[in-house]
Amino acid sequence: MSKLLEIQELTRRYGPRRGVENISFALKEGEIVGLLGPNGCGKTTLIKLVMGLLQPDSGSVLIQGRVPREAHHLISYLPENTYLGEWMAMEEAFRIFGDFYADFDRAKAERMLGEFQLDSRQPLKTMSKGMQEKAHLALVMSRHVPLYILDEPMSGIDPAARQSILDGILQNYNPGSSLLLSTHLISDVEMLFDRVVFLDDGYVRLDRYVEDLRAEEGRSVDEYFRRLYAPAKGGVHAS
Amino acid sequence: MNHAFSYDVPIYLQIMEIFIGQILRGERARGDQMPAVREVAMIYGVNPNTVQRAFAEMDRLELTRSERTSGRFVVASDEMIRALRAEQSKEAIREFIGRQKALGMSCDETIDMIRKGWIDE
Repeated sequence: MSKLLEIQELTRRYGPRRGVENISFALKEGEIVGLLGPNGCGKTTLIKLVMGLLQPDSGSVLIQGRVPREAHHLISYLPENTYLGEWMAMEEAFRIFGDFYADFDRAKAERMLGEFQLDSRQPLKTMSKGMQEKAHLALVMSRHVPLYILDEPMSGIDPAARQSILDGILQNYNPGSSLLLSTHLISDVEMLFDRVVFLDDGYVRLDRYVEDLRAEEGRSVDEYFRRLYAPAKGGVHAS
Repeated sequence: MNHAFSYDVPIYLQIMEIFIGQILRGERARGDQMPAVREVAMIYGVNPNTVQRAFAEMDRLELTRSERTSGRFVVASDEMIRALRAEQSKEAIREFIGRQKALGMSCDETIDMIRKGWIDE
């Protein structure tokens, strides 16, 4: 498997505050990787750097050998916060995506919306948070690209909707494409991942294949991280 | 489908267990086609690469074989099935004996209990 995304020694600070600090990791073709860690650990900063929405202080990001600003056609991105007008219905969103992206598969988006039992004429503002998240996911997963990046697709959503979002991801990503999914909820999604990269205060604390972790530690990924974090809560926090 | 996986054991081993169990019970016979990796991934809600690993491992054990064009088929011989069943049964019994001993049960008492329990089941 060749490298699809390569991040090398990436650092970005916000003034004196740490964003991400000397991060290196690569994503292979066909891999589903979980970007994990508590809120504020640098997940969204890292994703924005990969998307070219933030510039690094140092280090590099390459997507199939291209820098982020030349790689927009290679990545489909679900941001943490919506960029669609809330007056908008999915019909309009589909039209915009169709105009904007040659790789957008409208039939697939409509099928996904149907699977989620959503109406393409309903304005987003009248939808619940879970419904909006599903509608966004239908848009993002309906582009044919080598890399999908989903930033916290399940936060603030009830468990039933979470499960249906997970199923939607699993059924609709193209085999052979890669997926980077950030979340602070581990137990719900650990079945999805090949590998997890755990960020802690801007650093990569752990980068490991989940099946190896289960075999070698005899623990679930969720439980492993809980234990990893238990001592840090005592106040002795290594920086 | 909601199969209860234990997250603290590699998932591919648990998927192997499901399909090997089906072969041992004769629910999937020699010559039957195995479902596609992607289909199994969707049914159980797991990563397709995990299913691929489980199936590759079953190929390696020569329980199944992947034909390049037509899919993957059960190829386990009766002899292999008998051997595998005996091996798994032996392992289950060893565990069981250990637990009975820990309870202070004798062999005769245990066998008695098994006979009664077997009929009640």
